[in-house]
Amino acid sequence: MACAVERARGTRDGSTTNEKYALTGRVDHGQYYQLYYNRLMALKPRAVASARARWPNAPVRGVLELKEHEPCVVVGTVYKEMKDKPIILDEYVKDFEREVYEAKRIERGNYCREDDRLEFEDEGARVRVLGVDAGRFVTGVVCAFKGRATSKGEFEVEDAAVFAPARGGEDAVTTADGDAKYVCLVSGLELGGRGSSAENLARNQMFVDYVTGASVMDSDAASDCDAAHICQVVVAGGTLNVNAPSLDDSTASAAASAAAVKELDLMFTEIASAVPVDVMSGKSDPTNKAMPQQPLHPVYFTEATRFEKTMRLATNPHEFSVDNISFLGTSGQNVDDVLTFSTIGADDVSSSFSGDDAAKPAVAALSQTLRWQHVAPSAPDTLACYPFKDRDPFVIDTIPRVYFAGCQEAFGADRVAHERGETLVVSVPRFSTTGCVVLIDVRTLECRVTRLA
Amino acid sequence: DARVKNQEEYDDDADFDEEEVYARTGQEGGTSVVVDAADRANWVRKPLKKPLCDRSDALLFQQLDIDYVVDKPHETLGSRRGKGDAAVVRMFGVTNDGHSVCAHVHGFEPYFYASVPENFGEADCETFRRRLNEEVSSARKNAPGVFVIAVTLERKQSLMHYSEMKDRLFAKITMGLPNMVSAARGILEKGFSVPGIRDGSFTTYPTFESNIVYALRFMVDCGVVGGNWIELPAGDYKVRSKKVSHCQIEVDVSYDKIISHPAEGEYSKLAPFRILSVDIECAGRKGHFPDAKQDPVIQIATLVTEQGSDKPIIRAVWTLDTCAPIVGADVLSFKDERELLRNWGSFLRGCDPDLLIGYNIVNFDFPYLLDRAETLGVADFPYWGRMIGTKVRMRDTVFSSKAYGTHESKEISCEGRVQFDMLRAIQRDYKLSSYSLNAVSAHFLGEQKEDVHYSAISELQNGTPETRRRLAVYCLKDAYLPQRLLDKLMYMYNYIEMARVTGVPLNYLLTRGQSIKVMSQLLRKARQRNMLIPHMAKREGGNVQAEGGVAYEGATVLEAKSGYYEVPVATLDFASLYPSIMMAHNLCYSTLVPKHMVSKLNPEDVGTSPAGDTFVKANKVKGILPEILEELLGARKRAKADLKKATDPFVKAVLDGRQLALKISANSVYGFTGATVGQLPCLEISSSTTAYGRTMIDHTKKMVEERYTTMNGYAGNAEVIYGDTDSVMIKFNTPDLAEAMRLGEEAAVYVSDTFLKPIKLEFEKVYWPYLLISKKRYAGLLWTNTEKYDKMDTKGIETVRRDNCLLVRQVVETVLEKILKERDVQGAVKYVQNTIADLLMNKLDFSQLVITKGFTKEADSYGVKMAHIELAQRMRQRDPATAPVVGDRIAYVIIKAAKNAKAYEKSEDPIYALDNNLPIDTNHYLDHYLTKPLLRIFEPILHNAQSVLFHGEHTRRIAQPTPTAKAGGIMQFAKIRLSCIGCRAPISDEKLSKSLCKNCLKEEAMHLQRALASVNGLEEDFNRLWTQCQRCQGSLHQDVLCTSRDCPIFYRRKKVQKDLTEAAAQLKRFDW
Repeated sequence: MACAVERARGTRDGSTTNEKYALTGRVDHGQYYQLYYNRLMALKPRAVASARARWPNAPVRGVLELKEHEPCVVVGTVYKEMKDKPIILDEYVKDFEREVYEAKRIERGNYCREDDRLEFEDEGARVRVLGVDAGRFVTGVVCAFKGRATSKGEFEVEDAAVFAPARGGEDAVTTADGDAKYVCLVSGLELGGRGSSAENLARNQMFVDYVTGASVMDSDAASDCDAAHICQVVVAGGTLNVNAPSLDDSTASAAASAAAVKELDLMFTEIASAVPVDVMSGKSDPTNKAMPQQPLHPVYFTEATRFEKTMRLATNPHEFSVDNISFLGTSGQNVDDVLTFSTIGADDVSSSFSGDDAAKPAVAALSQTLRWQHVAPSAPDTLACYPFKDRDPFVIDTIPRVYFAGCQEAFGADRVAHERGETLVVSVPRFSTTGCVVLIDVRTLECRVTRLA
Repeated sequence: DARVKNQEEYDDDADFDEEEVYARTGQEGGTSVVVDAADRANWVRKPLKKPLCDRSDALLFQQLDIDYVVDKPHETLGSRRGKGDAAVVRMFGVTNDGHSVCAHVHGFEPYFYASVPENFGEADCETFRRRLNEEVSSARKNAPGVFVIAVTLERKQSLMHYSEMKDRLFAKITMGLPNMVSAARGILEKGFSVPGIRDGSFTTYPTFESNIVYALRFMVDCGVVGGNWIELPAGDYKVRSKKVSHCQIEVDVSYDKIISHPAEGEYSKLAPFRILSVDIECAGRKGHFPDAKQDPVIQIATLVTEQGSDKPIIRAVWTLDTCAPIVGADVLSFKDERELLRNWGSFLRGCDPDLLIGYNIVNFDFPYLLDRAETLGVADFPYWGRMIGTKVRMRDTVFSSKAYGTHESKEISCEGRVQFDMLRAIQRDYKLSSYSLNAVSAHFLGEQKEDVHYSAISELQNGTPETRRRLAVYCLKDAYLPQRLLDKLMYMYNYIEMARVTGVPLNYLLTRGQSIKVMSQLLRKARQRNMLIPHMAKREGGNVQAEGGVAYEGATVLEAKSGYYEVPVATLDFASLYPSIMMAHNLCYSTLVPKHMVSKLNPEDVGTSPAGDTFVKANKVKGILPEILEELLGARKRAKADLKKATDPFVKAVLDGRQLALKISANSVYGFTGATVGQLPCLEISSSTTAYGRTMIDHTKKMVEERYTTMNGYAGNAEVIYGDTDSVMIKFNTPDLAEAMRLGEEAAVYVSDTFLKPIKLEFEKVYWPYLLISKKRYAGLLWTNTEKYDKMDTKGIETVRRDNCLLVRQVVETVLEKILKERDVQGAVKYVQNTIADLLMNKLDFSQLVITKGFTKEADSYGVKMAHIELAQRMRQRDPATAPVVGDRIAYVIIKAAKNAKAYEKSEDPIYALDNNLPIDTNHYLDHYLTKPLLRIFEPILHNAQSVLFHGEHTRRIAQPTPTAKAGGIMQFAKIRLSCIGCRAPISDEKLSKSLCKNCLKEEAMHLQRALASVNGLEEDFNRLWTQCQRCQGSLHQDVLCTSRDCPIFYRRKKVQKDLTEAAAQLKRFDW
């Protein structure tokens, strides 16, 4: 598998930053409160600082120190009470009420209701929050509110919430000099499962040919083709669609998935021989389901992993940098969950949005998690995650230049401005349904989509 | 820290003046108390707008409690016939504006009757009085004084037995004080001699109405019923200048000036009385249930709500040691426990509640507070009553009732305030599998409650102001739940209605049985008819069970033709069966004809019951019981009619409460006549009632089966397949639901026509399909219309028994659903087989296998070894701190034990079993819990149920857990070697792989995926379970402490934690 093109090379980094998502040593499932506590401790000082800047005259109070009618700022974690939120106790409801619950449990796109209510909690206590649209939040968001305590012991909010800005990274300055240099984002290849049709196989091969440059026969065009400028491929989840077999499963389905795995290995061997590739775990991939998802096991890539330098199996979320441009991305579960449990939607993207309209909700949700400075605030409440004891790895410590989510319906991108500059937010579409890959030029942070099918 | 400092200042001046506390606690609010002084003003009742003027203002109030005291007679209003003290009735209540009232009612003298010979003359009265007085005096060690005030003659009739003679002579004997009545009664019934009467010979005098509680006597005579509105007209009462109570309004009035309003129209409403709900926390020592002699009260949470409003007006918690503030609640902290108690006591008096509610307050919270105050020597604490300077008194009582069983309990006298223990009320009114506050709130309010074990309570108390705050929030929640239950179950409406209908004071409803209610009605009715109720000496000793149980032949049922019926089965019910029999046949004390009298009466005028007792017919004289029943059922009919018309939810609540109260009261009349240890048993009435019932069922069966035949042109031959006490199940042999309903309707009318009015057979429902197991055990889908079934109805089947494990309930329920709703017998069989397979493979949800039993004192002293008691002892040896103590419910699972182990040795603490990988004895569950109930259900359906369900392929695979060292045996000495995850063979080359053997390594990906599948399922469960606990406890940043064993996910979350950690470790072996 010779390399058909002379290609751009980027310097990549990421092996070290991902340690925070790795579950090493003894995995011990305790409780979730430490995760919430560590999240609050990490984000609170920042929120306090922003609150002081925004409302210099209002004192910052703990919930326990609230005094009736005194204008002040409180900082804490949001808890959203939702009547329709599916809960495990639904399994135990009494017969005569079951119908009500059945109706509720039918898979819905969104569980929000008009009467959802917000509570607000710091390390001391909890208080009901009034005057805020609960739909704009999910449980687990840390922020600062300005308002005052009412005589009934509620907190009446008077201004928009303030979130905690993260540190800026020491990213490279963008410049249009030199040749384009792309990071190629793709997701949802879905080998095995529904992606195993002949059509899909052909499409996947097209992708391989595209990034390796094999599709370019004309040698003159070779240096101008995209492949020549791709210095890094990132697969943002959804690589395999193999249902893990249960003990009773037939050997036939096991054999089918074994075949898919083999094919996958071949495919990545081809890619890795040409260009560095990071394969992130995703929702349908054979790894653990709870966030952070651990890298796929090398057993699936016995051939491809021989390319030690270029083939990298990554966690979800995945943090890395290419030519000193910092990237942070997930395989999309965080976005899906925010969209399921809030009213954030298409109307919330900025005017600089580009791409397919269908990608607007995802871009809006992703942008919002960036403002919240937390990759997955709704974990653990509605999104399963590991109960970390000593940290909350999902807190965004350094604001990335590129922030993406994979396995989405369509391509979309937006630029989110913040105190540290600007971040490119990208919704990476599912390749199996759209045939699209996303290219990001690390010199200019320009972003475009290419349809291969 | 500013807060702590402030707290200290607060503690320094914590010795409040009683009146001052309300004004002051608000002011120190500075930084620690969120609610400011303005709210504290609400703690006391609103002052009167203007002082009450007894010349121009009438006083109208709803009375809630009535008692009496012995005091000096009132100067102008009191009786002057007695020479010494007199009884003064006190009525406590609330006005329409929410002001508390105490009315002292004077002049009502206690009295009773004795039957005297016809020749007893007016002139004999004084002699008789003097002699009786002497006897009473000598019984009282010759105490001087006037005990018997007056003896007068009246012509009345005895309630007992029909008599042609209309009037007989009675002496009305008026006593100085209520407590002298029983002494006089004893003397009269034992007999004594009076000069001039029967020549001065020794004579016994049967007494009448001599065991009536004085307060009830007063109520009957003045037409006062429990919880009704009382009016004192202007000019007829006097406002007290020097109050002796904490009530806002205190008046004196003569008993004959009281206007008692029947509970109708505007007088059916409820006054805005104050309901105080309370919960306490104590810091127990390790391994002991809190003991008031040693363990401090650390928190008292109190909520006060005004009747009719849905938000509490006071939410406050008293804490020992500092406590961080709670938004929306007042926190009062104390360094000294004595001060805490003292302050709460004075709060109680100032807030002046009418009702005290809580959960198990009568047997735990209140006695604990009182005992604790005594231990600490807080002499000014136990003044909770409304009378200034009167202490609360507490004593042990044994309450025994046929309907409610025998309970040991405390009785606490708290003058003027009604105690309403929700635990008691719910125990009386509902059959639940558990009465823990958690289970009850899950059942009625649909939510789980965080439950903190008392060993954790001490830890929280010994922590920081924040941990104590956490405790306080928990305590406040527990104080709020009883109030919410009270509202949800509409207890105020229902119980006040019941008090009004039956005429007894509110507090009798919880502290006394059914019979006092019937007695109260009987007294009122008899009074109207100029009749007297004889006093029957209670039989001494005797076994309650034996006598109260089957003294007469009870209601039998028709033989059940067990089977699975796939055609509709119509059910005809007798509406209010026993009451209507008593009405139809005029069964009463006053209509019962003594055996020797029967021949003297015209046979036309009497009826003889199948039991052989004779009663006079209604056209000759109407019985009192039928009249009471007519009124009760008539009122119920009206209430139901009004209920249909009503639109206002409050009116609806009242009317529904009323119709329910009326129904219960009507049904208790029959029981009253059959209670052999009761006040007025009359087995002739009760056995006649049931005898009539039995013949009616037989009669119905005969009529239906004779008429509905193919010979008479009907589609099929009807068959009565079962008859219960008051219902008959008929299979008309038509497959058509509508036709079965039509025939049922028709048959009801057809048979009803042959019964005396008001006995009526009603068609109500059709069961289709119907599974009749045996008598009193059946299940069916219930239809009242042809569109859709109403529900699945089961009786006598293991769906609600509390001592079963969840597994049994769930399996039985699902099986019935599959058979009845889905009509899928094969599906039910398959489900049972799968469940059994899962059970044997140990794949079931662990909590389904947990069994709970109460740890009671009695159980401890039984000679027999019982599984849960043995377990409690073992747990005490392991860790006295968390071991269950008497009063707890013990949860256990059955584990595999050594061969020949006794059943009671196999019980184990579920948590311990989980922690130590002790294997569940799945066969035990199968044999001892599942087999019987399932066979009962399936035997009428499948002819080879036993072999299909319990033998076969699905029972062959049994999980054999890896033995662990903890389980004992040889494993303690074994060396552990890694075995292959795929095939369990030992791994020979650990360098090659730690997870798989050489053979399985070829399919590493597949084995890996299997391991992942198990991790993924567990991860999702772990997440859903633990986030739920966090939601329930209402905090994200604090660890979950809850140990509610009643919660369905308690064991599950623990198991998933363990399983997931293990599965993750397993996964790690794949060199990840």
